[in-house]
Amino acid sequence: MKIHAPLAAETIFHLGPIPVTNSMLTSALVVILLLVMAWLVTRKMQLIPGRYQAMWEMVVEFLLDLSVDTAGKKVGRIVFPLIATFFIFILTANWMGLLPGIGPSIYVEVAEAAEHGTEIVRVPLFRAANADLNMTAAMALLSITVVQIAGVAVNGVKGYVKHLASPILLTPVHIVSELSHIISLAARLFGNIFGGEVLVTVMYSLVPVVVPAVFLGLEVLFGFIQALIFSVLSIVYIALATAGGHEENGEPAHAAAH
Amino acid sequence: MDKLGINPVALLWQLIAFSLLVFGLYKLLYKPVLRMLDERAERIRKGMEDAAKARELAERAQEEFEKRIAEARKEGQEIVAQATQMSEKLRQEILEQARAEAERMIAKERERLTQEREQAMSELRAQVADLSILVAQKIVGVSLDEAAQRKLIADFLREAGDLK
Repeated sequence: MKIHAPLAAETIFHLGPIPVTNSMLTSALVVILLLVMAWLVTRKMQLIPGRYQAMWEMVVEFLLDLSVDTAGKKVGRIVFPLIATFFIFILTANWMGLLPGIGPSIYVEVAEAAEHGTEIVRVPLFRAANADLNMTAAMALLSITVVQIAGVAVNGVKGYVKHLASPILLTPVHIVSELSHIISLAARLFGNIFGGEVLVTVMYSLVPVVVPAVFLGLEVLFGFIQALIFSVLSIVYIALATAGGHEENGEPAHAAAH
Repeated sequence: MDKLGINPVALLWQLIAFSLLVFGLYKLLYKPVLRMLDERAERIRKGMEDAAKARELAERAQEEFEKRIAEARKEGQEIVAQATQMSEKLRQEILEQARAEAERMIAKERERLTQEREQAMSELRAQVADLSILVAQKIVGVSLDEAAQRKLIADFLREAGDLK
């Protein structure tokens, strides 16, 4: 039996010049779903919350505490929307990827360019959003860009450059390290989710009952862990990039000595 | 890159979708929820403050109440004591008055009795004199003139009175 599990997301249709892939569809779906859910919570907020509102308040408060505890009150509060959205989006996308209908269950037939003309292939209509490197790379790029911006904003351009070039000889190492953060964030999330999807698919084809359920349960756990890791690492990188400023503000004499 | 499926269009699409979500959730979720959390915290803080204030107020009112009660009790006791004292005084006065009245009446009565007795005595004395003259006339058979007799009897009676 041949299991078809391409690394790349498949194009479903073209929206003007844009080739829309199945993972782009899913991520759009997740975005719309989350916006609707958020609108439902805050449409009529109650001082005495219902269960739905209380759950979201708990989530928001947990993520705010995570940001503020790690990066300090000022920076933490500013980057909190980004960190919280990382967590909420990744978690929702991961868990939605486990639902029937997403992943290799609903297929559409599309024409694909092949060596000799076009070829009709069956591809899943929806693909877990984080099983596409474009999605995870986009978030990782955003995360590390914000890290650099935060570093400049808190330490100033001079402080940022000094941070990157101390000692001078290690400057390339620092730059590579920053860039590697993008790759590690993107690849880790993609690898876990894509790998999990492949694993579940393989299990379905080997033992169609009971066993896949066990792996689906594990995927629920992994989906949560990956969401947490991505947001925690992002806030930690931000905290590291902005920590120097706090030290310098705290010890002006020490800064002047350099 | 192509093998991994990375292409700029998809990357940009996902970046825009995600940024849209960040913005949307900020507007629709984080801001209102945090505002609500702050508002609730503020309400609770205020509620607790109010409760403390109310308790303090109640305690003060209780104290005031107890003070008033104590004052009223003291006042009542004073009034009762005063009334008792006054009634005692009144009783004494009435008693005194009654006693004085009684004494006055007794004295008056005694005086009247004395007067009556004296009157009776003087009457008796006159009668005794008359009777004596009569008896003497009967015995002696002669009559002295009345004036001399009377003098005699008066002398006698005086003597008798002196003797007594």
